[in-house]
Amino acid sequence: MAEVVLAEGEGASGLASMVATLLAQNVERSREKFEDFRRLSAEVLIEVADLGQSVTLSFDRDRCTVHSRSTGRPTIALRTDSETFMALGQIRIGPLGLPNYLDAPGRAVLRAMVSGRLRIHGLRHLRTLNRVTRLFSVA
Amino acid sequence: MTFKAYSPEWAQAYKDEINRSAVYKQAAAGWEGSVGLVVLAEPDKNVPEDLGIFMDLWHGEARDVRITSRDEAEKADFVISGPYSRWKQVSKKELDATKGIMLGQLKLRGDFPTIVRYTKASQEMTECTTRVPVEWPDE
Repeated sequence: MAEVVLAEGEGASGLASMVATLLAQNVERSREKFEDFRRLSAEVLIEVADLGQSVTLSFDRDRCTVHSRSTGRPTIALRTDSETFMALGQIRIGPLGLPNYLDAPGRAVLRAMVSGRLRIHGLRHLRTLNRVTRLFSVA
Repeated sequence: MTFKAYSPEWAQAYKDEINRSAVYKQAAAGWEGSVGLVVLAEPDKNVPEDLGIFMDLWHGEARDVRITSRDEAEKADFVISGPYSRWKQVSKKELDATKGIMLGQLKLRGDFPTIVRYTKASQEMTECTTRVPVEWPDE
């Protein structure tokens, strides 16, 4: 069973609480997402610049700990703004489980990358990035 | 014409504003579910008791918007709660509701994947509140 916990418990930031709840609910309702969750062993940093907030997700098989700050050595780091962050969840998953960057939501994310509103470090960990994208996709 | 904040007349004006919005109609075309807004009391701002707004929203239409008790609003499928002054900021366009949730200034309860899927609809829903002229109890 997948477990998503807040490192700071009741003192977690709004962003950490939101990310943790979204992740837990997404994994709970989809067997494919659950499998992705179980296969992840990575640290993912998300920085939302206009909110001045960061969260680090530490995936370790059946468990993900969500920290309300930047911590550890992230495998992947996303630096973005709140609007683009919400848009990331709209990415649809296409054939072979790959994120679809050709439709409108996907193109919006590509535009954010080109304009610098979304910066991704650790692109060489493409499999991990695709898993994380699938985990947070609500489309 | 201005409406006393959170009066039945304000609720009717808010409902009319939502139903006038082509943006909301399109963005919420697939939405099914009630939304409860909980306004937490701030006695020093002339809001002595918690109150609720219950919104019956269905496929891009506001079927009902009414002022209720906090308990009644909390029975909705999705509940957003926050202190009076935060909601006033939202209505005055000083705070984006989604950012408010991400910052922990507003609390969301419900299915997060659905909320993320309908980000544009929820943004327009709060945008509609900014178009209703309001007489605030602390002004």
